Amino acid sequence: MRRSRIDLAVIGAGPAGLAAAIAAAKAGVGRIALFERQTEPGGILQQCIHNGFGLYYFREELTGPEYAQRFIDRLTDYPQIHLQTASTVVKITPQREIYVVNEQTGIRYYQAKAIILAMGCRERPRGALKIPGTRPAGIFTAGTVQQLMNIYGLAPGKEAVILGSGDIGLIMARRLTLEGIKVRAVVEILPYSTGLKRNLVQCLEDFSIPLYLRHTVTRINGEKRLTSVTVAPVNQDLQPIKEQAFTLPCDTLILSVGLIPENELSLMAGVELDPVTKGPLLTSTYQTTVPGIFACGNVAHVHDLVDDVSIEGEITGQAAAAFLNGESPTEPYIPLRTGRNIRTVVPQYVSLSNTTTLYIRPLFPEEDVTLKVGPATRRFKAVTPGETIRFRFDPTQLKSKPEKIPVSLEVETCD
Amino acid sequence: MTKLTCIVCPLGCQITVADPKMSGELHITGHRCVRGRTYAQTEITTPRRVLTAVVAIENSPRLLPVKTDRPLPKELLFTAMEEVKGIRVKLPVKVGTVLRANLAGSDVNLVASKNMA
Repeated sequence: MRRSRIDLAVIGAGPAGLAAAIAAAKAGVGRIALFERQTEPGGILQQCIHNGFGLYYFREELTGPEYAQRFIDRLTDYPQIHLQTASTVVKITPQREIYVVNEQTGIRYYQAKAIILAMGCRERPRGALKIPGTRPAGIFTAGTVQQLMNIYGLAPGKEAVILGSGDIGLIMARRLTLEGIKVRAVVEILPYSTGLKRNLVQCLEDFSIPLYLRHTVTRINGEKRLTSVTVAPVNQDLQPIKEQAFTLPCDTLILSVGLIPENELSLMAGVELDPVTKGPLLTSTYQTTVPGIFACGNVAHVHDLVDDVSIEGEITGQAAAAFLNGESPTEPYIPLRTGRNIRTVVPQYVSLSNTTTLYIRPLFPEEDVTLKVGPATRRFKAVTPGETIRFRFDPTQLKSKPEKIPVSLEVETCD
Repeated sequence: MTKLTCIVCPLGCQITVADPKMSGELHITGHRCVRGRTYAQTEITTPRRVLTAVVAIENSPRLLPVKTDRPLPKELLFTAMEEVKGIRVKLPVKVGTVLRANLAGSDVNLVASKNMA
């Protein structure tokens, strides 16, 4: 087996991996291998042909492929980054050994001094929902439909129902409609959409596509091909009210029901995961519980905006460079503890010497709340699980060194 | 009075436009930036949207992602899509290469949104 020694391995050349590799190279890291299982870099951005990317990072509105291109173009300035496409990492170890499979070169083995995990996430499939009924053709995840239409030019069907109102589902509702495929409805079990408000306007309202809140698909009907789905409203406990069920004829059911970080490789490396984010437990420099192994982007936690992924990738690339320079972070990290109306906080550990940007996702929508992070507070008119709160935590506000820092959203006014 | 959700950025400001049908200056509130104000003015008079799609490439099974270089009047979206479906592109193209000027008879152009060779 061919074997090479490298300084840094970056696994995944999507927005997180690209930003991390470039930032590490900029910070002086020598031999960087950037592994990508697809035939071109860019990750999921390449199939996200819609616009709306880059407003924060580039201060202009770009499509997914355009956003990716900006970073791919930068690669040429850094010959120390060896991009290896069509190369799937199949195994990594806590000793930072990496096994890669490629059709031409076979299996290769690398010994890296540091690793950045940037594998992204995958979609929750039908099996995760346990919908009763038959098992006909015509059931897809939203990302699969996006790939079929935007990369391969294939229509998934003629009449679709979309289950779940996350952004990918909303974006695909518009895309299908523009291609002449009828979207009968978007069905959402929660009393609110988890997508961005602007996507409700430009993807559903613009085309008069009905959004059924507090409803779910209770049965899948059809033998060879899907013929209809049964939809019912749900009660307070999210249980279907069968008496009020109705049928929507369709040949396609599209699932947009959540994303899960793809951490099979992380687990092989002995990285400890957060049971709620399903991504690695991370310090403020995105280091995992295994020294020298870092993680960023959607493998760490699912982001609303790619702009945040790029920023996070850069922080991670710089941190990996510092680690390789021997600037081992010996300082203690303080764990954050999630409290009232907080689903997740990433990173899970903060530094006492530098400010940390926290990504905080609430559990449920609420108005007039105060975010509390230890002694720091900020008021919000409204929060919702669909929109991550970004909060810069400054440790100098701490009067003494706490064991844990509580994070919560409180309804009473501050102080 | 008309209520709008701004689509300029992910914040999605709730904008109120008072007496939109009356001539003269519109009374716009609820936006957090100047782009929101511009959006509300356009949305009340002639709503526009950026159109994105994919087009076929000559002698290749691959597809080229495309977009309009500016927002297109909303009522032209479907007419424009019909025109987009007929386009066959010759490679190479770069981000911004104009593939069709005055799409659907409008004042916007269809451009490539990816470098392809």
